[in-house]
Amino acid sequence: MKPLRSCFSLLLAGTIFLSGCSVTQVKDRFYLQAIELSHSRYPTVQLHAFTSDQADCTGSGTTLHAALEDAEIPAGRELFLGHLELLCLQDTAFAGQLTELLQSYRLSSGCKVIYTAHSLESVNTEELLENLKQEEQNGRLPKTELMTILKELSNSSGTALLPFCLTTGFSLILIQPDGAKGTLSNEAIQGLCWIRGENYPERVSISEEEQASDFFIEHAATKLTATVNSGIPVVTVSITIQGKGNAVALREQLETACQAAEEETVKKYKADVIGLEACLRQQCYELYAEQNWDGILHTVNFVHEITILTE
Amino acid sequence: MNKLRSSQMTILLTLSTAFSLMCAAFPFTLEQILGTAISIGVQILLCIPVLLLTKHNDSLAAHCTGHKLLPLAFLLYFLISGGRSVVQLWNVSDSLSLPFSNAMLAAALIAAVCLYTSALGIQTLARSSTLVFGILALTLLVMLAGGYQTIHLQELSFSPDATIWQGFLQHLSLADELPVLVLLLSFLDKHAVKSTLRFFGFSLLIWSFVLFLGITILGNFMNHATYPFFMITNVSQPFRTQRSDALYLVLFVLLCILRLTLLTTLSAHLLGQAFPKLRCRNLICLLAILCFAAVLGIWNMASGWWYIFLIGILTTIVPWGLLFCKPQNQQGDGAGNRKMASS
Repeated sequence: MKPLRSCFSLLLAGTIFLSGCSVTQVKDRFYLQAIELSHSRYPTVQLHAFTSDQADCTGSGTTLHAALEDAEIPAGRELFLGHLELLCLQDTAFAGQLTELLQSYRLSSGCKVIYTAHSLESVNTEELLENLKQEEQNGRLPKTELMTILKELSNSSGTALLPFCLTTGFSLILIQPDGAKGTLSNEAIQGLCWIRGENYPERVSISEEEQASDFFIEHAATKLTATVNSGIPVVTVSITIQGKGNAVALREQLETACQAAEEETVKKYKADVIGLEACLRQQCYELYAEQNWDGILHTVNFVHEITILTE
Repeated sequence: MNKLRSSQMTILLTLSTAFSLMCAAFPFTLEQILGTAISIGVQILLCIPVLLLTKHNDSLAAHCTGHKLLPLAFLLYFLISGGRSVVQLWNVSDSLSLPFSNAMLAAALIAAVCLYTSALGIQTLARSSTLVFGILALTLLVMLAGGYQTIHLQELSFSPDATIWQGFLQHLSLADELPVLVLLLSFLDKHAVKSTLRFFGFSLLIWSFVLFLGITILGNFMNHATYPFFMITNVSQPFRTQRSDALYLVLFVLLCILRLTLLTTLSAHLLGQAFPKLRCRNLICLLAILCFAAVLGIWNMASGWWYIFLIGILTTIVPWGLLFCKPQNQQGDGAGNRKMASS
């Protein structure tokens, strides 16, 4: 009996006193689906609960914590951000506070983060999130979430890729905590999907001289490898595709898209949103340790190896 | 004190090392994995004298009986180690958002459970540890399931800011289990070598597994994590409708209670050997651990490389000394008790 009693005492201490059930009941919490952060100098938060068609309440304060505390008053309950699905930033400065938010409010690392130039007060954020997820599923936007954004911000470039919410849909924007760097073209966005290799389209429309056609993709994979050639880093982007359609035209289209993505992110905005640093650190460690990061971004060359297998 | 089975000793020590891993406050790197592997290799070498002592049917417990200096030296280390664990618990719970409003009440409850469990004896603790080991295995599986999709093998690379030497020292300074192992071997009937090697195997496996997950899941974001284990748990949430925080917290509390109970029980045992007539030994030891925790916390001495010297002295030099100073006319009786050989 002694071991059993001991086990029970251990379990009881752990489960009862640390489960949180004794402190807060479910009905006492305000479960948030989305929050919108604006005005970094005097932060304002707009809270969207699950199944709400518009913002439920707002709050503001000298800091983000104060603003969230202020929003608890109209909400009438303790805020719970552990199941948050969407975080909308109206000000890039909030990117610098994402780590603190993750740790203090136990945000889900899979939470989507978007940048928006206009208020989403009257927007159904659940529908907005579904739209974003559908864009990602169709391979029209590269997959992004809180953890990928935090990892990008922790890289030497300190720049993250975020979906940019427009009235007509979504685009992509590169941001740093001190400001937005720029938006990307549609071609670059398509290229990023292929280079990042996390989500691919199931179908690619190919513009040919006479008429447009479709290439149906059954399987795709991307791999980045790096070598050093005369002191210059060379990154090979190997894309393997299996599917049905015009392979020659698809290859040309992918080449152009990948080049556009590399030009706009790495060369123009000096941003690493394709896992370049991890690749170079793993495969060209000496060069990575010796040279400064801006110098590497300036000199890095890309080679594309696109293999298309058709039936 | 009752006898332990070899598997029970392995589990007790493995759970104790898992607590150190959860409280690790340094970035997880590839260098740290290599340093950990080297450190465990060195720890096996450090244990050779005590294993030789066991092979000669002798043990530390046998030498402690009727003496004061040896048990008090180990007692002092266990109290410091217990205090260190309390400080680690306090620091970690300070930087986590835990679901209790009164930290002192929670600490008092943990202390009460430790006191109760230590009063039941080491065998009870050893039997309970099997259950906790199951929870540890489940938690690691949940971590893997939650983080599997976000593992990026390209993050597994050397870091310009870390060295293998640093990783080695960091791991070795946390090896509080070695002096515990020296004493626990006294309570084993057989399979001392097998049990010790199995413990080091489990230790290497668990450390490498968690370090690997940390590096490949967190990447460069690791530098922002004060306690990387808990940052991994933030990311590893495999269930869509239910967060797994409770599981991680329950494991953390159970490991803490188990470690503190183990140290309290062993300390009380040593205190009993030095002062056989002393009563309420568990309570005295637990209070002493809390006092040491206050001292270590105030002077910020809960971590440091100087612990390696203490671990080295108690794990290697003391058993070597016992091996060499063993009088020729004395031999063990196979149960850890010395007796005079009949001439």
